[in-house]
Amino acid sequence: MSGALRRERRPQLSYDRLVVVLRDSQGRELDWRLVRNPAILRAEAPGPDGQLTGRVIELDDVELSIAIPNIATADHIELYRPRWTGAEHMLDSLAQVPLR
Amino acid sequence: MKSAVGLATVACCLGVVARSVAEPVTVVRGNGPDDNRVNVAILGDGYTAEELAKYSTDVDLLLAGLFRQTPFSEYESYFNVRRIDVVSNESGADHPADGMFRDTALGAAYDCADIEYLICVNNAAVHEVLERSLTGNLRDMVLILVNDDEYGGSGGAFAVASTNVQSTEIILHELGHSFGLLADEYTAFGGSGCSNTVEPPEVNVTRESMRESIKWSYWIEPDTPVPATTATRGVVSAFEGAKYCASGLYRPTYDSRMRSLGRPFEEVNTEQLIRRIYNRVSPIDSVSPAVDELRSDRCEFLDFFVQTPGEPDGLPGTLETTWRIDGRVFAGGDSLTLVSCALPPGRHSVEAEVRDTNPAVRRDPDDALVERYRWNVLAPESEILSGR
Repeated sequence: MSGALRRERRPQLSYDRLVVVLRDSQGRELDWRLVRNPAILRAEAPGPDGQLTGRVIELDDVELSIAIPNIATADHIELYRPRWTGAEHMLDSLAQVPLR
Repeated sequence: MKSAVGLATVACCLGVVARSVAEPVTVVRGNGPDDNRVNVAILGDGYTAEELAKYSTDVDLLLAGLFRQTPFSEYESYFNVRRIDVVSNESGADHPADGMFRDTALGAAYDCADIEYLICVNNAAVHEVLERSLTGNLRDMVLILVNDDEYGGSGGAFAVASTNVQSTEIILHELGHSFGLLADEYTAFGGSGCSNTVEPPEVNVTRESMRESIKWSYWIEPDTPVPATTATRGVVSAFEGAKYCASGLYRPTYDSRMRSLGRPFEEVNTEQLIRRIYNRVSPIDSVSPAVDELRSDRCEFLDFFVQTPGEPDGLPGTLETTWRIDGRVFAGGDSLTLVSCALPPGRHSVEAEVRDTNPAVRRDPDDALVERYRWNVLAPESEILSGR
């Protein structure tokens, strides 16, 4: 995508985000950003007293659209999913997608 | 591509995408530069061309509700909102369980995942509209309003809500998740989804019941019992039952918006939402001069200025600017004028620090509410007017 893509000032990982890393052919990181994981859906509804009930659903067939900076040397993107250990987030590799 | 978590397709946006005509976009809240605001995009589904006036009214009602709620009310000027006029061939949404189907632009359908009130949309169709109508940096939040008055919606990559009277309420709760990264504070029947074996990452849920170990201990008054012993609204303590668990996890208040609709977010969640607003918005919009290296060859006035997004509504004096010269506090206010030859010859730093001192934020570990800008100034060798 041409034009400026803003970075978050204080990005935070979360179970409903994915980490997108843009790399060149040598594996050098060119850019990274967080995107919302489209597989995660929350279904919530209020009871008679207004208190909510609900659940988190993980869809198994969704489309992920990612806006990335238009960098000439970009070769591929890597996708990671955060996993909370109780003390920190670990990044589990999901996919590597070539750009050419 | 099919992965372990089921991301079926990766559509990547490098380069130019062939597209049809963009939908009309109307700025319904324009409060400043897009590159320093939370940019909200609203799309409608199930609105025919004849219903676009209703869509506009529905959006206005939604926004009025959103910006009535703390902290969005105080920080409304930190948001830009665009309404995208998406036209559907038919009015309403699919209700597959009732055998009712509508030809709509974004494919909104109830009964998603066999849950009556869960509305799913066609993600690809949403992305197509967004890509041809808005640049990528104008989609910090995407809200989809479905023209159907039966309760329904979903939270996720997009917040989806019907035009039911509860839609504003459920979108506010959803923003607590997707924007504020807050956890649900309600319990689930039978503990479905409960996980209380490790400390949760969200700021509004904890396993700890000892006062000093609780994440939000700095909000708890010294004379408040911990854990909470009474079901009192509006008091910060540690109330057992949160994030789908009836026990083993605690929430900060008895009944916040992350537990029930129609409630305020309360202190801990409000604090987090403000920090998250500043994840997108810097307390400095722009500076003057726009260059950070200044050289003065003669005795002259040097004017420095910082433009801020403006004070949060109803909180005058909250944004404080501090000017430092070579690290020493020199003045306050939005601007500073120096006489170059009053500085000793050589290199100096001039720094502006803008800080939001809103008392609704008691802890800001990542300095999200602060921005600093530094100029390097080379003062003239001449001392003709030094001491002026």
